[in-house]
Amino acid sequence: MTDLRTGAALLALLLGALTGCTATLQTSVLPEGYAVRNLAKVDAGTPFALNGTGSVAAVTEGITRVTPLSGALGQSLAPAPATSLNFSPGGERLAAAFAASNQSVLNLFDLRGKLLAEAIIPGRVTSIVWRSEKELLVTALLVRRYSFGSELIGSLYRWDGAAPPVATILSDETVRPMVAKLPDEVLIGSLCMALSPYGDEIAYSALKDPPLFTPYLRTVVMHLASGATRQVAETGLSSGGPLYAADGESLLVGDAGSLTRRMSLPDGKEIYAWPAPGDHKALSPSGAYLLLDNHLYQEGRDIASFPKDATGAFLPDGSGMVISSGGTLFLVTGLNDGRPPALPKDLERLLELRRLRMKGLITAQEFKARRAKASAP
Amino acid sequence: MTGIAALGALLIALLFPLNASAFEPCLPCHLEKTPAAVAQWQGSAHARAKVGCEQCHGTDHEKIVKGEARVDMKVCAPCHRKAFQEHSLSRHGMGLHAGWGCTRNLPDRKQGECRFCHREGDEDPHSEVQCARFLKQSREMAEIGCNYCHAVEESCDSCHSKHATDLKIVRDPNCCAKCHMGPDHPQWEMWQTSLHGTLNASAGRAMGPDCQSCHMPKGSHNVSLGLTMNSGGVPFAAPKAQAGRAKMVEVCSGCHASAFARRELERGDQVRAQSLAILKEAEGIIWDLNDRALLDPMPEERAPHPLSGPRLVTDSQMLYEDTSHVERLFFKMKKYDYARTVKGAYHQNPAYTHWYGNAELKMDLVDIKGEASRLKDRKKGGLATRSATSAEEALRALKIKFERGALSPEQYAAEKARVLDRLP
Repeated sequence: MTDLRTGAALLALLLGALTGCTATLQTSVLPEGYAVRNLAKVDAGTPFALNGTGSVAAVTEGITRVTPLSGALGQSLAPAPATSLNFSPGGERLAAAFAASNQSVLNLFDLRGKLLAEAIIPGRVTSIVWRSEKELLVTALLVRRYSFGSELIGSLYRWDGAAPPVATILSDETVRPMVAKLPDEVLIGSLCMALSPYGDEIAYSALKDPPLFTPYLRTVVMHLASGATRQVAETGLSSGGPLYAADGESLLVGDAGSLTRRMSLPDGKEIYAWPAPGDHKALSPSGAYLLLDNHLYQEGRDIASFPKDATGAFLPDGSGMVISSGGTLFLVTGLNDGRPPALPKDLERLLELRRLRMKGLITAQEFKARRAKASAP
Repeated sequence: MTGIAALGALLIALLFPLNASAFEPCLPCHLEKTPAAVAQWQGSAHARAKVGCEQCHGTDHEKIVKGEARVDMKVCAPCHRKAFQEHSLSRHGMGLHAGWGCTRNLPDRKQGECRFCHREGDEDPHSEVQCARFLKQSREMAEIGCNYCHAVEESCDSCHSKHATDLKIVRDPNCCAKCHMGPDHPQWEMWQTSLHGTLNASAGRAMGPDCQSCHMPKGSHNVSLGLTMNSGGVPFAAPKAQAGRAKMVEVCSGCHASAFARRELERGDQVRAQSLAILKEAEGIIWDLNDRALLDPMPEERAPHPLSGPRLVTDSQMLYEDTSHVERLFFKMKKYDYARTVKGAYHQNPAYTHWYGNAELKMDLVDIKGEASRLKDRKKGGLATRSATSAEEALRALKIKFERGALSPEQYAAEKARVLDRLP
């Protein structure tokens, strides 16, 4: 049996070498039922996005395209590489940001490649999240360079695709010359945002450079309606930004070192930790699968590993995931994700309790007690 | 010319044989320019003791003309040491500090004012006590309306006059009346119309004691002997109050049985405690309105308080201007009506205790409650009555109350639970 497997692997390698054009995803042994399919060539290190209707948006040879997962010919969107991409919840619209000098162009496209709306955002767009079909949240970092260092202004833009985007400053930090000289991807990557599953809060990271101390990232949760904020963590640079767990009550934050922590909100207490730096993180819709750097976890178990440069995203139905590695997108199928947690019946009450908690008017214990009371039969 | 001068000098020497060297430099001119001042000095104990002009005023005439050689308490103290020490222990000895504050940042202030709080070359003030109401005044208003009385701290002439030393002046209760009268502390009026005051008017000091009889016994300059509360009507802690009470009973015992005196004063204590409770109830209403952001305008929406900034102040630094209507009602209640009730009781004046004091105090509470209801109703009408909004407002008010110590942790948790129970 072992001989047979070895023979099949050698054959696959030989075929690959003979064809010379099909990339393969180097993985550990995948669980039974999992399959990997080569999807498309992309420019290494560029962003990509998936929707629920079978399309992937990515950058190939400097062109931003939308391609069906089926492998059919894609649609060119813009003759420039997008710096951020994200599909609307229904998958019908795509938001894409393009760098243009010290500003960004934010475009909305339909799936046929028609430009629906455009806005200019000062600085570099670092994250795009759809809060609803009608509202887009965008973070951007504006860097102003001076002789004594650089000023990093992180802003949140709320855009409906019609009126001009509305800006809120999230952070304004003047960093020392030694920090200002860090690679662009480190500075730009310092501002990352995630939206809570309830759509009422965002979590974002922002660079802090205190004189005489090591620069670090602070992770802050902000209630969108009230503007109330609370810092929940401090981590090293390049920690990859925060990610909400499916329950909306905890946050995954990497420390840019050896651990990724799941911490409760809003107090930031550690619930669980994985032995991974957490540079890239993705959660399946139900929360059962976690892609943490190049490892895939199911219910906390490490079930597969991918090349070190792998980044990924789960399909909206949880049946698979797309991995980007070595300039190729791969579709991994066979995942058995559960159903995403249903929104509670008393959503309004939950949102109100979350709002009161973020404003510091009720404690985490009071919040939990009220939630438990509400969900009791 | 020389002959005329010599004749003049001879004439002065003949007229004032006591101490020619003391007035020689000043009198030739001042007999002509300020004859009344010279005449007062001539009749004074100072003149008899051969204390001349320059011993108090100095010899730098330019400085005197500029008003920089003020004859303050430092000048008098070396000779009148006992009186100075007694004065320094009394509330009079704090008079200026209670009515002053750092004017550095105020426009149109004289540099010389610094001397009230700072000694020359010393940046640290004598006292950190400051007065917000003083700091709100114009320069002219501050000088007349505040310093005329509060300068008593540093100026013996506040009571004694400038050049005369006749004790008849300071032994007359009229001497006290120039400051101890008016809406905030009408001790003069309440004494005058009390049994003590009316007997004084009809039968003299032996039958009707005056201010000095009780507050400056045996000529003491410590006018605060026997008091049991501060100038704002806040009772002293027990040890200090008991010591003060013992002293006052001793004074009263000069005419009354000490048991009677004690009983009378204790009746005043009861009136004070009852009035203080009414005052505290009103103060609680004001703070509750502030907690609920219902004051109109709120502290952060008006000129900042000179000492506390954009915060609600209801203590002794409370203002009567740049404030809300309900706070202005409370100011009157506290500064006028509470003071009149309490001081009226201790001065045995029935009308001040009741009608000018306690009745007003109680009516103030009615007004403040009414204004609070109006403000709450107005807020209800002005906002959509969404329970979420009202829950947040209620929780915010509770949080502020808890943070300022008005609720215990248990009360805070219980009150919050009540609000959360009402969430739909």
